[in-house]
Amino acid sequence: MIHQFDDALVTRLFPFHMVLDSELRIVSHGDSLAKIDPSVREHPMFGDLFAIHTPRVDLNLEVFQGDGAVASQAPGDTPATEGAAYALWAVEGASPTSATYVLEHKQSSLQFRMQMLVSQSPQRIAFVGSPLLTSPNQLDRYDLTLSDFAPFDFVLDYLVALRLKDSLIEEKTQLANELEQANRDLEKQVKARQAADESKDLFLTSMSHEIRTPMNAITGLTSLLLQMEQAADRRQHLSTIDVAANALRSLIDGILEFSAIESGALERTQADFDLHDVITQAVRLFRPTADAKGIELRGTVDDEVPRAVRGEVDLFNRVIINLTENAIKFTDSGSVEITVTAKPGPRGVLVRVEVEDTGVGIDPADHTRIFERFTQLRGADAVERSGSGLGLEISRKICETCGGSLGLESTLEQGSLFWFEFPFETRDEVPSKNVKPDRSEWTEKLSEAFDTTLPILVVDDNEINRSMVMDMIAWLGIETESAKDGETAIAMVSEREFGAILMDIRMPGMDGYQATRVIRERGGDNAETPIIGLSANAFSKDREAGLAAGMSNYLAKPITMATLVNVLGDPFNHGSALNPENASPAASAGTLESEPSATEPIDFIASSPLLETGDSSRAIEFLQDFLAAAPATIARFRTSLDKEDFEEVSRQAHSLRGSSLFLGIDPLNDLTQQLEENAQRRDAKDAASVLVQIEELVAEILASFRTPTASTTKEDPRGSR
Amino acid sequence: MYGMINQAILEYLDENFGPDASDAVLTRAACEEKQFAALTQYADEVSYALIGAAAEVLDQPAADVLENVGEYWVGFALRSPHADLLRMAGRTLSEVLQNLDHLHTRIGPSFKQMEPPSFWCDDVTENTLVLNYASERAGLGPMVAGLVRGLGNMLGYSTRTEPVANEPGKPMKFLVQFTANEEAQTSPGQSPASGENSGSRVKSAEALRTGGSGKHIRS
Repeated sequence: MIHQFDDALVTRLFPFHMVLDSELRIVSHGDSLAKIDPSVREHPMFGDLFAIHTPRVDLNLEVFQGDGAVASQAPGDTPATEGAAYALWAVEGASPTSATYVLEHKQSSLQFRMQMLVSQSPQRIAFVGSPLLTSPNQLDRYDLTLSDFAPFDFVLDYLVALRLKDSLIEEKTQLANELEQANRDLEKQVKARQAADESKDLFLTSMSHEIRTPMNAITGLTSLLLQMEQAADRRQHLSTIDVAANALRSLIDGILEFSAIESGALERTQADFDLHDVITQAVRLFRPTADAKGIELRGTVDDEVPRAVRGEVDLFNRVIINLTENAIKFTDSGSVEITVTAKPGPRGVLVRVEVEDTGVGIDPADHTRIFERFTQLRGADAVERSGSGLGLEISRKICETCGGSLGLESTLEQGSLFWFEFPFETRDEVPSKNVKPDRSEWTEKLSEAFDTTLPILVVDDNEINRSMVMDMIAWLGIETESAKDGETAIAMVSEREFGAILMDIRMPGMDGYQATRVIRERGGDNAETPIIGLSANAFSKDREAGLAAGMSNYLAKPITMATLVNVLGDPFNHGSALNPENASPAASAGTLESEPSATEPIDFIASSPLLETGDSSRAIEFLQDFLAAAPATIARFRTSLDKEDFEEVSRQAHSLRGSSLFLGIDPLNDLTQQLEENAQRRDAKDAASVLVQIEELVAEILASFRTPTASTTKEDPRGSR
Repeated sequence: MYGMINQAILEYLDENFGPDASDAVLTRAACEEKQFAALTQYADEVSYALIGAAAEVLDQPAADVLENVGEYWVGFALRSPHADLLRMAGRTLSEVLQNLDHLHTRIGPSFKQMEPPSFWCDDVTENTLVLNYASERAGLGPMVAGLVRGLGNMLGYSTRTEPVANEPGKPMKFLVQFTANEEAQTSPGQSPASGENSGSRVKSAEALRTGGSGKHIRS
């Protein structure tokens, strides 16, 4: 209890205070209280303006009067009774001055947290405190400012903290909204980009196909005109047209491939394989070309490079071939060296291939440009040397898609070093290609897929290929019939029912697609007979074209017993054709530096699928058939090449490649592929060089039959390699 | 200083001189940030560098840049989420200027790293007061005149601010003269620009953004 209020002090300390007399009339007040309710200046009764929210008591005037003194007084009057009791409420034992009061202003509902002070003379009670504000907005609503709060009043600090928290939440929400909006925009942009890419790819693909068709007519007719035309000047014009048209076709092929990569349609097949063998193959592939240019081609594989790995061998091959081809193309003398090293990588091992040449080199200013699509090197002979300008970009995309990278170090006229890194998983053992088949198991599988009492029709224009497949099927205990072209096949199909049809895609006259369409359209007993397409090409577009024509599935050469059974045993499962476990990479034993020479015939056909039957004699017979026909085959090549009939050379090379795949002559497969590519590029010089290599290979195989150690009954030739 | 100060400098340049000016200032100040987070502390040197670079880019004395940024700061703060903190400083220019320290002590606990300048008033009359200013940071005095002008714009006053004492090591003193604008006058019993008159404040802030302002008297 205090004896007397110092109004000035109370006003300064408590802008919201009010003093009541014994009648509970408000006799004085702080200025800030008048902001809330100006009527307070009129000395109203406390109860008219305020209610006590806490504690739940009423002010008790009787108690206030205590000893029965004056019950009612005018405002400002001095109470008659000194020492009046200050217990204002009827709560025994409680002290009203120690209670916390929450008063509510009736008109505005604004609440105040107050404490009571009581004075005896004059007899007054005072409420001092400040408004209970819960939001900074209330400051505006009640027109309150800092001046309305005593410095020690922490209500404002609380409001500031509250405001700050709200601000932070608001800022965070705003940032979150902006982020969400940005994400939505980004998503839209990505979708738009994807749609644009898809449209672009679709456009490129369709346009490329549209261009290809007339291009074939142009190149074909140009070739024909070149043979017919005698006038030198006209022949020169025609030659120019011929070169230009072929360059354009090559470009279109590149665009198609690039388009496939861009649209994510890049075929990625995982396989277990022997990494050293793959590198050896790549080096061997270019040795003839390097030799022809007088360039030394060397290859070194570091001891730490594992042999047994799993990964995308086909794509790895594509990159190493592209870089090696470029290196040879841009090197006129000196050497091209391929160095392979390895280090631990995310998938097991990261293989680094460096292709270093002593060629023309690349200006550092062009190092970035060189990877841009359609970019060709500068220089006087740039056009002569350059291709579509897509090769490096495609290679880099392949590396990046597979989790690797590609780069270069080069200085103009000081050679180049292109490198790429490719991740592989490591394996404990090099995949064996000498698995003994379980014939009964395979036969059973086939019998579940189709009626094996019916013969299988094998359609192929290449006699060796045809016979090879028929032998493989015969070994499985199923009868076969054969047709050498589409027309014959259609005639046979109309006469009887077959269990299945193996249809070569590329045949003179009616090709496999057309024949399949006709068979499907005509209906009859073979309307639903599984038709499996056969081709040396493993591109998805060929498979899709086959499926679109009505084929049930597609089988890429070289055909193994395993892939043949897989596809025939499940002819409508499109994943079975390229079962990675059965994808047999071209493989031959030996290292780059120490290639053992093949001295026995069977060593030349290590990849023959017929060896999987465990009987090599039939494979050797096929090899002998091939050798017998080889001189005539090579003569046909020469004739076509002399006539510069590259179409025919390409077709023959494709056919011979099929044979080499069937026969399992890996080196021949490489050479025929080169020959086919040379023919497509209309490169007579390189084609002739490759043809010589083929002749030498044939001679080498023939020689192996004459060696004293030659054996035609060796059972397990690959086990020793 | 908090990022909001630097951000205000950039926005002042953007709005009055175009994005090229702010880009040029950022480049000249060798500033890596292109924008500043409001509640993040940056070294004072960043703010000094921005002001110095702005003076060079705009070919103006640094004091003028500071004064104009000071004026701009008030409108910037009014557009921020913390506007009501500024508004609670008072309803009249005199009240606000007298409450600036009070305001800083209130927001101090929330802005823990803030090292605000100190302001207090002497010789307060109906239309004049002497504003004392003391700061740990040197060279920012010209900003005070701009701040006063900005607050006058906010509350509907024409102002004239002139330094009357500027001795090294002592607080600067500014004589502030102010007159309530007629359009800002409100009905009897209400202070200028208070309560429902918040529209006029927004209008003033708009004037700030567009480079114009309420009437002010330059000494």
